[in-house]
Amino acid sequence: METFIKSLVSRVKEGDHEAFEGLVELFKDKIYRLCYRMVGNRHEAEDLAQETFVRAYTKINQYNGEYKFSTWLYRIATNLCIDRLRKKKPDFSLDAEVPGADGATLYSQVATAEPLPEEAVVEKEKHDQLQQEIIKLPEKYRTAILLKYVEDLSLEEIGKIMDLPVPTVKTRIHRGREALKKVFRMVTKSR
Amino acid sequence: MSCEKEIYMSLIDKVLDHEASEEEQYELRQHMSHCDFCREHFTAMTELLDELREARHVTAPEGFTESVMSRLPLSATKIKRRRWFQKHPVLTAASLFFVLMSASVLATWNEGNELSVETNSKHVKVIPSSHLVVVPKGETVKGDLIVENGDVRIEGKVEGDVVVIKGERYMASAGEVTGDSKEIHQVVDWAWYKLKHLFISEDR
Ligand SMILES: [Zn+2]
Repeated sequence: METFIKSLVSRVKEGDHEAFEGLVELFKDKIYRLCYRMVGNRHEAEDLAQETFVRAYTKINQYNGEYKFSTWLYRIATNLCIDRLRKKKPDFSLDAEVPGADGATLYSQVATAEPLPEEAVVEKEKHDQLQQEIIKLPEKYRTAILLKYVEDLSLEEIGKIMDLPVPTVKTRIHRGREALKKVFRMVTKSR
Repeated sequence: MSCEKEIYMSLIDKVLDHEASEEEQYELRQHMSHCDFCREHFTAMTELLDELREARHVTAPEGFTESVMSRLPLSATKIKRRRWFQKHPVLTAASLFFVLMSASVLATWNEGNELSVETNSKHVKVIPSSHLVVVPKGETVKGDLIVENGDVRIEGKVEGDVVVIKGERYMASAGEVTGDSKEIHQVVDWAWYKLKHLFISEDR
């Protein structure tokens, strides 16, 4: 499969945009899913996922095979999503550390975050509620959690996508998971 | 309520990440059989991770690829498409795979039973009742002959390709085909043929 992807990429580099169609087909679900989980809105997710591919196409010559093509796409997608999220929440502090392994501060952030009205009304299922909680996670935890558990990527791959050393990735997954677990339990118990 | 042994928290993480050995898994199970806290924690985490994995069912909306392609700076699509097809049989095989993946292709293959004949020539004799198409002796059919869901008997001459889909082709001793001649019996061949046909007819 990797060889096939490589051959598609080199065709695209030679100006063959039809080969790009194959790449879109191969990765559209993964990228759309990631965007959806990142921003929590289908319209925005579609726009961001499409933008990811358009960027990938226009910047294809910058792709040098250092990473897997999928890793490169994930990087573009997460960066676009994070950009979008920052524009929406200009006062959100990304660098706010979450002290303590118990995730107390993160938890209180999660609990007081504003619910998304559009989604909250339409979707009542448990996994949609979970989606709500994912959206409320600070994006550095969110990205790590999604890449690990939804996309099933290795810690090394996540590290490459997020530009982080593996131990940091591990910490983020752990803390994100702890925070999610607490809200998730509240959700399931309140039913 | 909490667990006095910190170690089990990290052990639970290890088990959830499928990094624990058999012994470690056993150890955790033993502990959970009498520790409500760890058992509850483990159950909640398992449920949470299952829910996260549920998210994998989300797929890109209909028409996604087309929208992306329409947003790219493109030119002369059709000409390139054909060249691409001719130059890159391997990549086309990949497209074939996508075509095959669509349920509609399989459904069409299984459902269609109507005799269909594609030709420019008036010299072709069609016998719908017996699902038979005949190129009569002494006649010359100019151009391709494509028959679906029927047999073809060639007694005369075809100056072009003959394609028989879900049918047999019989050549009389005097029969002649100047172009390619083939029978398509498998859905794979058929999808391949349809794909090729699609690309080429789009250029015309
Ligand atoms: Zn315990």
